[in-house]
Formats: sequence, C-alpha cells, structure tokens
Amino acid sequence: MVHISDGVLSPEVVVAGWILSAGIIAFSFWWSSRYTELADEMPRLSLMTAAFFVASLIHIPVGPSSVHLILNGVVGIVLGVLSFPSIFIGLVLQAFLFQHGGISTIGINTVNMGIPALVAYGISKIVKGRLHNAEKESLIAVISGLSGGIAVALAALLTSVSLIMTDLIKGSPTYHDAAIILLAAHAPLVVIEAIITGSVVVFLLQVKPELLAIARATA
Amino acid sequence: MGEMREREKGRGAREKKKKRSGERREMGRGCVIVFMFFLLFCFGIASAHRIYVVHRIADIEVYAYFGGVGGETPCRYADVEVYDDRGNLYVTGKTDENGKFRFSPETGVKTYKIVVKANLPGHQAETLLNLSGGYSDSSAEGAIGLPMRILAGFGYLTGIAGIAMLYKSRKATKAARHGDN
Repeated sequence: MVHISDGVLSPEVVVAGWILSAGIIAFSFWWSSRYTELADEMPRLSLMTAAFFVASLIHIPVGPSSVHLILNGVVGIVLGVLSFPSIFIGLVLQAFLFQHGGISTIGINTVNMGIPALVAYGISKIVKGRLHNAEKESLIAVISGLSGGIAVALAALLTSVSLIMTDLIKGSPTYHDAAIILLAAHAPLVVIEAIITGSVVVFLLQVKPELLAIARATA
Repeated sequence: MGEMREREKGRGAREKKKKRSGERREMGRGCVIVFMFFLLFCFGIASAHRIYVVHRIADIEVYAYFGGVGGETPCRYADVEVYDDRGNLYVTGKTDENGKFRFSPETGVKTYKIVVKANLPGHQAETLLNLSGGYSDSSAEGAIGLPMRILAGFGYLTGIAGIAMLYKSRKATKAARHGDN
C-alpha cells in the first residue's frame, strides 16, 4: 500500500507534500486551461476519479500483508495533466470515507501517486506522438502498459523516499528497509497494472480515442 | 434350699440380664459415639459437592486487517503496542497469522490505546479501547457500511460532474442569448 497513514511522517515531509501538491494542482489547472475548458473535462475527471477511488478496495495478498490496485497509470494516460487533481480528489474521498491513508498525509500521498501518473502520461504521449500509424496500436498498448507498471513502481519508490526522509529528519532507523520492502511487495502489482493499463488503452483507442488524453490534440 | 437356688438363679439371671442389658447399653452408646465420629468425617465428603464460583476477566482480543472489497485481509505478524491510560507502554507483541493479538487487561486500568504497525512500511492504525463502556465495537467506522460509503464517494463525484455540466449549459445559454441580441 502506498497510502501513508497519519502519524508516520515527520511534519516537514507532510508540509512539503502539501506545498508541492498545491503547486502542481495549480499548474495542472493552468496548463489544461490553455487547451480546454475545465468544465468540459469535469465529467471525464469524475469518472476516472471514481475508478481510482474504488481501486484501493481491490486487495491482492502478497506474503504477510496485501497491496491494492492504484490505477494511477491509467488515470494519467486518460486524463493527462488533470490526473494530478483527480488523484488528489480521489485521495480526499478515500481518506474520509474509507479511512484509507491519513488526512494530514493527503498532500504527500498525492505527490507520491500523482507524479508517477504524470510520468506515465508523458512517456505514452511522447511515444504516441512519434508513431503516426494506426497499425502501431499494439506498440502503443505495450508502451502504455509499461508506463502503467512504471507508475506503480514509481509510486512505491516515492513513498519509500518519503519514509526515508522522515527517518533522516527524525534520526531514527525505522524505515531504512522501506524501499526494498515496498518495491518487493508491489512487484506483482506492477505486472497486474501494466496489463490493465495496456488493455484499457487498447480498448479506448479502438472504441473512443478522444477519451484518452494522449490521443487528443491537447495536453 | 431349692427356693434359694432358684432365687439365686433368678438373681443370677436377673444380674446377668442387668449385666447384659448394661452391656448392651454400653455397646449402644459406643455405637453412637462411633457413628458420630463417622459423621464427622462424612462432612468432608459432603463438602466436595459444594459449587465454587470464581470469575476472571478474559483476555482482550485485538484484530487488525486490511479492509476492502472481497473480504478482509488479516494483518499478519504486525507489531502491536498497547499503552495504558497514563500513556505508558503496557505490553508489546505481534499479531498472529490470523491478524489477532491477545493481552490480559491490567487490574484497574480501564482505557487502553492500541497501536498496530503493519509490516508494510508507513502503515499504522490505532484504536482506543474503553472497558467501562461495556462491550465496545471499536470499528465504529464500519457503522455506515462499505457499500454506502462507495455510493457516497460516487455521489460526490457525480455532483462535481453535475456542477460542471450545469455551469457549461448556463454558459451556452448565455452565449446563445447574447448571440440572439
């Protein structure tokens, strides 16, 4: 699980998370307003936020604990830069309705899960831009799938960075193994979400390409 | 002479009778005493049938799990810390393979804070346990029920989409009106 609970992180990391989140949310609103109206994007954003919101309910047992679907790769590829506010809203709802992840840590959790979403979007968009053939759809699916998997791995990595930063600030060795444990636990999830992301992208490209941010002539 | 002998016989017989009856009385008394002794020891046997009632407060069981759709996944082998009502660490341990942890309550302590740190880094949860409140189901968050909370989330998101669509249609109407003018 990459949702960090309350009371785990040091205050500096929590505040830094909030500041970063606010900044990136403002940036994403400004960036998308250059290409589309926010009101036009809202229904699609709500849909993807709903998918992200319920994804955390689907658990996969891994060893002594369990991990849950994140779907930040899919959200990134479908929504583009607006995936960051979408994940923020999704995390708010998860924290308040499911007690999934702390409330004070919503900022840092958004950073940990939102930045990989943006990365997944960036990779897929660049690849899609280079390929103009419709025949290369299978390649797009593979690349999108890979970016979906990378999004999960990055989310686990950033979460462990947050924990290790807390260790460094507090001077305690609590989370020194965090990176290895988190990445190992999420390895099956990387594969699963790569498959999910690839399938979703292939399906939407065939059925309704304009739903995908990477297919729209916008950011 | 004969009469004397008869009398003596009778006396003798009477004396024998007295003796015998005296002996019998003594024997009877002896029997009573023996019987009374016997009864004394019988009390020991009778008291073994007395019922004893004792009570002890059973262990408190803590259950930690990852909640979600498709059932709960128990939080196995997670560190548990129990603090008493003064904030001192009372007992530590680990949840077993079913995610459960038991501890005996400290005499006189009614409130405990239980912190469970999941073995995935960065995840912990705590609950406050108050014994004097009677049977307390500390999973008060589950009071609303998971399906309702999912619907609540969808409700919020639909509301956001609806507000956006409302705003859009108002703008379109305004633009149309301006276009007509």
